[in-house]
Amino acid sequence: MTEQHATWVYAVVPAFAPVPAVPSGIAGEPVRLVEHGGIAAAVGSVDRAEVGEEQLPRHLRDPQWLERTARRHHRVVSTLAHGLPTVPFRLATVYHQDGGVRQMLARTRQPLLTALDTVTSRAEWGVQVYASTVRQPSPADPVAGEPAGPGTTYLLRQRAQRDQREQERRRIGEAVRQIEAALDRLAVAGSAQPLTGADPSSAGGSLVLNLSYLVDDRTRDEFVAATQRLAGRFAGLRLRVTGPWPAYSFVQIEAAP
Amino acid sequence: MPGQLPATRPVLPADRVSLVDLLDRVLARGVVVSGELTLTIADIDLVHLSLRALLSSVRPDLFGPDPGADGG
Repeated sequence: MTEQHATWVYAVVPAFAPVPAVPSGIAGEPVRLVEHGGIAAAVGSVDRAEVGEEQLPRHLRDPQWLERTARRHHRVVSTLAHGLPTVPFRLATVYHQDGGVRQMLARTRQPLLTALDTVTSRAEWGVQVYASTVRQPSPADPVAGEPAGPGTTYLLRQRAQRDQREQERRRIGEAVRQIEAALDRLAVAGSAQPLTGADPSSAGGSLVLNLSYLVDDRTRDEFVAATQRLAGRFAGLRLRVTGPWPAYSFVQIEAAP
Repeated sequence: MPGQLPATRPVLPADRVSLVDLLDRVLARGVVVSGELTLTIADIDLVHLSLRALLSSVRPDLFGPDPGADGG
């Protein structure tokens, strides 16, 4: 490539495999393969004005640029993953030239082959559990028991609130155990993710469980059916299932220096 | 260009994936390599950190439609 362009990496796929038709990349550029040692990086040549070392940090902080680029990056990765084993690369993995990509493939060949093996005929599913917000007892609520003085009423109410929170905590804990037990056995791997990235449309509920599962194509229908069954089982809890995703969460590899 | 993939229209509705789900994956997960990159990994981590703050202070205007069970 010319000095004007840098090489943006989307994913790594097996070399010599039939490649599905892929949409254009983050800057509208054609996506092509850089091969080395039986594996291939799906890359695009992108103008340095978009992704140069000076421009990229600034662009990443621009919400519009970030959204557009993330969606186009994902569009390429998910199209590849639809047709062949695909190891997704993190957004903004950019090399000065194709040569840097080849060196990376050579240096990281073994972990990448292992990752390709892990994701073959499998997809990622996201399972989030939201708990509806627990209503706090109001002073107008009747307190169980005989009429009592204001001090006693206050203490009883405090205790009732504490008991309710504890009950709620146990109920959610039990539901989470049941959900994990039911899904773990239908997945190849599962990983708990941080409780961030809550779905903004779930206002009023709080994210209590954020899981990613790697599911084999053979158990996929069973997995989806299980999430649907679980969705209706627990009062006050909502399951949000997303997928199939490329295996973004199951390709952590230790790159050799 | 050798190795170029046949061009086509997008086959999956990637624009319908929730932006929160998407950014959480493309910025926080996926393969991370070092080497002759134009951008240091620390730069991306910084972006990711500030993004986390942004995501947790829910900005509905910033997020695309959520189709439910449709990750693309």
